Amino acid sequence: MRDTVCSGMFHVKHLLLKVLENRELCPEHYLITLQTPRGFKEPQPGQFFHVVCDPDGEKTLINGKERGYALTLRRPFSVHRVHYAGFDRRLLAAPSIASMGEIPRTSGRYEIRDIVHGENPPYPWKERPVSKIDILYKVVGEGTRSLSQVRPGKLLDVIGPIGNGFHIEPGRAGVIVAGGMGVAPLVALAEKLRYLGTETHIYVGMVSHMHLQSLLKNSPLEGRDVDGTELCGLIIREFKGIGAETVTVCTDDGSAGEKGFVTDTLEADMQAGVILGSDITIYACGPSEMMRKVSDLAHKYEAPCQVLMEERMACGIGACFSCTCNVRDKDGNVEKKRVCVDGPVFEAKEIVW
Amino acid sequence: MVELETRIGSLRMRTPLIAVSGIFGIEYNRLSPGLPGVGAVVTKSVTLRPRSGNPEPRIVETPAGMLNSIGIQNPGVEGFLSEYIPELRLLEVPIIASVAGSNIEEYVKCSSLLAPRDEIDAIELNVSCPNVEEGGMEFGCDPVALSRLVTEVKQAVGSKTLIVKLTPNVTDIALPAQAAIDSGADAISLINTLRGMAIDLETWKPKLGNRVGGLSGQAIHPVAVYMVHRCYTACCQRNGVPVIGIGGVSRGEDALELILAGATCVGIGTAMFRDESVFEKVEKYLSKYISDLHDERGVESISDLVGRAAQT
Repeated sequence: MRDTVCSGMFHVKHLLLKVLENRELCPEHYLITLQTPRGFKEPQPGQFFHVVCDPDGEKTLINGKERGYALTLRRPFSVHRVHYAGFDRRLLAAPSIASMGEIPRTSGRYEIRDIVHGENPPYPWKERPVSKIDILYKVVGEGTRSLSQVRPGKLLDVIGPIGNGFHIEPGRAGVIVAGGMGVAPLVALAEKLRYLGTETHIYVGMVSHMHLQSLLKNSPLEGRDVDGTELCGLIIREFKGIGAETVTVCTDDGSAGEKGFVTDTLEADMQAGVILGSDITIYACGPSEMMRKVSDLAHKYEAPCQVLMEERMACGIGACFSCTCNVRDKDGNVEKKRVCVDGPVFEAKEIVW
Repeated sequence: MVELETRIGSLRMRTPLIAVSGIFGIEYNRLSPGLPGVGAVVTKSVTLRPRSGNPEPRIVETPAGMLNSIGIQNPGVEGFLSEYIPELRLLEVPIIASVAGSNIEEYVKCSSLLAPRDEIDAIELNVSCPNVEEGGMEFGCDPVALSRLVTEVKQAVGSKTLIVKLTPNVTDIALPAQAAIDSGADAISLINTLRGMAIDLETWKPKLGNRVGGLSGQAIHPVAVYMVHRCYTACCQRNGVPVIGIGGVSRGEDALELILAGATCVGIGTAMFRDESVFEKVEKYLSKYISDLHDERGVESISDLVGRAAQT
């Protein structure tokens, strides 16, 4: 039924990370930045941290005695962005990486030239020290509401990085399909693909333009009425800024970008041959219904597809079997796998929707 | 530090703190190597045949607690023996295997396969799971059926320590407790989760895939204190059968409260989700508590504290 302590648990640590920033980007959407210690294991896109959202929860004072009704459970959050010491991410947009062609590979490591200092020989990718991580989240319940109240300077109790991240295939163009807050982990993926010199196409679907604002870290629109068209332009610039070849924005209400579901636009592009199933790998995260549709499209156009699953979690480390999903093995047998450590990224074709 | 070594039947534990069934997995040994503070661990319940468990969502947080409805997902006793046992050898603490079933025959078969294994130090009968349709809780609610079950399993496990885990979803928990003791239980553990439900106000649907689940966490602690007290005073003390007190323990004070109510050992479960180092903290608290009281009240060990609330 399960492997021994599985790969999703290999580098998991219990850590206290300092909150550097925790700000509201647009109503209900927050970005929290955490400082990472020396020697911090680089989280892979798709991996998550299991977070105590109320660091002061147990210290509520009642009659002078500590007695809190703290949150019972941690909450899982995907890594939104990884920051590297001494690396200016604006350079991701520099043409030099894209024009590098084939990526040199040494002893299993993908390498890029250190374009920061123009150094040669190449700077080994995996040795670049992580300095900070970002988590993008939306307030949806008590846990996220508590997290939104945490002030900079606090230490946040986290377990991570947990789970199997996306299995990146640098030789195939990456097509990223994000729905709603599903965009959060996919930004880390887009950046990683770019570091690896992989052609990347991004499809983002949101309910309305208001939700798109969460993707702008330093919104020039702050303090004034938001115009959907202008916002859409800024989002596209933001993603182009991290090296995406094409960016397609859809909103359910048509207030920014194309009107309709992101899956319809994706289907149209695949049908028209704008992207070819044989050349790409699809990486998707979003509402279950969206991922199911993407999975169907991937199957139809014979593209490999990975989905990042979401489920309510308790332990987050594989012990409690709360966060299961139905997965079909090669022989067609369906079994319940744990999203936390058997996933959260699964091959789309394995999932029983 | 005060020595907290505790015994239940033939089970010798370095602390009276037990990682309870359903929560503990080998993964915690990776997060917290050596499991400091943990006296023994209880495995997730195992059944004769594999079970895939209940539909998702399987958990939901509630005020000061949570509801779960996993439905005893497990690989069956054969899978358990081949997959889990080798991992469990890595642990430095005694292993208590939790057994569930839907009829006496299943319990007996499952227990008799587990009991002879050297890696398993004791058997806990789960007669209290609120999340499976048949079996489990129906034994916990019916003293007569429980009596037959415990008698037969006791024969099957031979000299291995047998613990019976009781459900709080009864009118008087002393009745199944007495039945278990009379039928040969070496210890009883209580409480399992309280049946509960949560409803989404937008969709009007139950928040759990299985509609109902079991409540655990801080919210149930006073219920556990009462029921431990009830069993201790009604039958356990008289029969010299130790109680493993379980329910809502998240800090040292909670554990002490259960001990004063009559618990020889204290189980910790839900609190591990937030902080797996809870065992160490509770161990330190108890140790300090006893050493502080040594001169003042002549308290030397945990056993001097067990059930003291019943004597006042």
